[in-house]
Amino acid sequence: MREITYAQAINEALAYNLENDERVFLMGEDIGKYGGIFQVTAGLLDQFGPERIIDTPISEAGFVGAAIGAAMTGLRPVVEIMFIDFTTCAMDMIFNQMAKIHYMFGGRGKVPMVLRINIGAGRGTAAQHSQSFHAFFIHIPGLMVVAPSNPYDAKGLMNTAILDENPVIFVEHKKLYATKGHVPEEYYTIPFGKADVKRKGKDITIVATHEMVNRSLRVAEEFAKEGIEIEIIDPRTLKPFDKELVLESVKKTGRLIVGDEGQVTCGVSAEISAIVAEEAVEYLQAPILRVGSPDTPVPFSPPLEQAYIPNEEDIREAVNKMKEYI
Amino acid sequence: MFQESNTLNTPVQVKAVPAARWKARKEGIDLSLVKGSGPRKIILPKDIEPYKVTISAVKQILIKEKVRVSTLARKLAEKEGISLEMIAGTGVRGRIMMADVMQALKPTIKKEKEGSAEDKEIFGTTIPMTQIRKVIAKRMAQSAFTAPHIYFFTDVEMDGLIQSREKIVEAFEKEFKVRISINDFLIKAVAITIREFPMLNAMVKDENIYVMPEINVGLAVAMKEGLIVPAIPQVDRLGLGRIAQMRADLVERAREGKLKLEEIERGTFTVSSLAQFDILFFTAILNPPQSGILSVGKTYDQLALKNGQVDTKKIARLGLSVDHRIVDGAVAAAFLQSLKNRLENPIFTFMQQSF
Repeated sequence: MREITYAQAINEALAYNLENDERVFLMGEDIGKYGGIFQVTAGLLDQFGPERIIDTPISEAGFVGAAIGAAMTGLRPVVEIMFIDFTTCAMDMIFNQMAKIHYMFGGRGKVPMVLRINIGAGRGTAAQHSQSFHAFFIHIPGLMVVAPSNPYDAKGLMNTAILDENPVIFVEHKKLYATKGHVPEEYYTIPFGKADVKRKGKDITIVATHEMVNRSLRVAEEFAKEGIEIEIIDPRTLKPFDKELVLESVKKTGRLIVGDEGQVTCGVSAEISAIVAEEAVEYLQAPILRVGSPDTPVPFSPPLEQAYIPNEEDIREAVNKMKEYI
Repeated sequence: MFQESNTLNTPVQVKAVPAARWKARKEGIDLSLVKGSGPRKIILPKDIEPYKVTISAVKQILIKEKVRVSTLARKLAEKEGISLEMIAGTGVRGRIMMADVMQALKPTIKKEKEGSAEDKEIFGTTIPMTQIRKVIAKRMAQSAFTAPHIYFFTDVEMDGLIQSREKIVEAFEKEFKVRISINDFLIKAVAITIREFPMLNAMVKDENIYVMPEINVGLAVAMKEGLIVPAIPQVDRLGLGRIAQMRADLVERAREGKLKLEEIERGTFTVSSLAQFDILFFTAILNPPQSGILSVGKTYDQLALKNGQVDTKKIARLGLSVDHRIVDGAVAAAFLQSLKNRLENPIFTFMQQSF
């Protein structure tokens, strides 16, 4: 099978939907002529024209609000926010309008739109362009939150996101855009709420998101050499969350590590840990460990930024700690 | 929250991972007896596995001892997953009543207290016997009141044995991976002597004397819950290396509560040593249905004349209790004399025994 990048996989899903569904259109800063800050929308302006690939001014609240209106009246907008950091400019639109309309109109209004954002540090872009606070969106009822970790999942999940009748926060990862993987040329969807076992194992379960999946996979190979088999589960969608698969795995291994690039405090890993503690504590053979970012802004200094990012070394440390309980 | 509702009277300070705690509760195992192998000695589920053996062994003994329990109490205990062995009964003839089970289900929060506070708490209170304590009480009383005991004492010169041990201990450890103890020689010497005096390996059975087929020497080990006597089988046929290995293993597992029923029940003669205390000698109650038990006091220095010079020699006082129904005084005395001779001439005694 051919290999394409994560950015190309999303681009392919967008192009297919633009081609096959006239209700679909894109909005965002620099997504047209420039092709998007990470080139996810590259080439789409030439193919579909400025009416459907709309470059907007720097006005997040404005164009997110416009998209919500368009979605309510029957279109299928896919909006790009350049960095997750900028969603804060449009929080009222996202939390109070996009997430609430379906509920407040008694189910008679709906907002079938996709809001594309990206997380991840490591590009030397400091505290306002490097954050990973995607947990915010899980916290607010009314939003779907998607977190693809590879090109295959990115394409399938984007196709599902555009079909979905609910507002979807599509959380991409900067480090993943250039990674390549096998992606079928044909159209396919991946259902929301279905986690994926990225690696089978019996000793420790790692539930990981985004780039933490790939980091965990590399660490798991190292530990396999010493006979420790790590199971890696990628939830793929954080809301809805496939707790059944996670619980099933933890019941088998008795040990859980959660890896997510957001801050551990009140983060994705905190929520997953709590679910397991509530529903499967009697199976736990070791404390639950979390691997994530520390409680500080992302540093600009490159060495500090590298220390900030939860990497293989942090996962290795967690596994070594947990190993003592085997 | 779980710790407080723990049904096993497990002190709150016992550290166990949740899976181990749940498992212990289900299996009716007292976690305070389990040795943890995780970080900071936390108990892991696998640590409980071997412990289950002793629990089932004790249960089997108790089945023989007939646990008296009301139907309601049994049902409640089963529902809550608490083992009846851990409950003291307050009903007629020690019958376990529902109230006793409920009492046992109450959380016990043991506080770390100074000695004086602890003293205040225990004096003037009634402590119900656990089933294990009851078994010990019943057996000791049965032995003391049905088997007429007679006691014999002799002083044994230990210098030769101590020197022999010192000469071989390093090489022995290299070969057998265990440090040989004076007790190991003692156990072996006892077994050889029993071969000469089979009545010390006998029991009263109805109106007959049954001489048991194997010479299995038990070693009394003090555990937290009470005394337990694991026995080394067919000691007369074993070399000292194997005896030392089995002794070390049985004592360790006795302390960890990991003995099997067979190991507790197979003894035909018992050795009880208080040599680590400043106890010169003591009388021991027979471990029923056995007919003999050897008590071992501290080895101490005694002044002695050697070739007209004042010198010291090492003396240990051995005591022998026998069941007078089977063993008469002369036989017991001859046994002890023979044992003394063997221990005082270790080279001759152990020379013929392959290690």
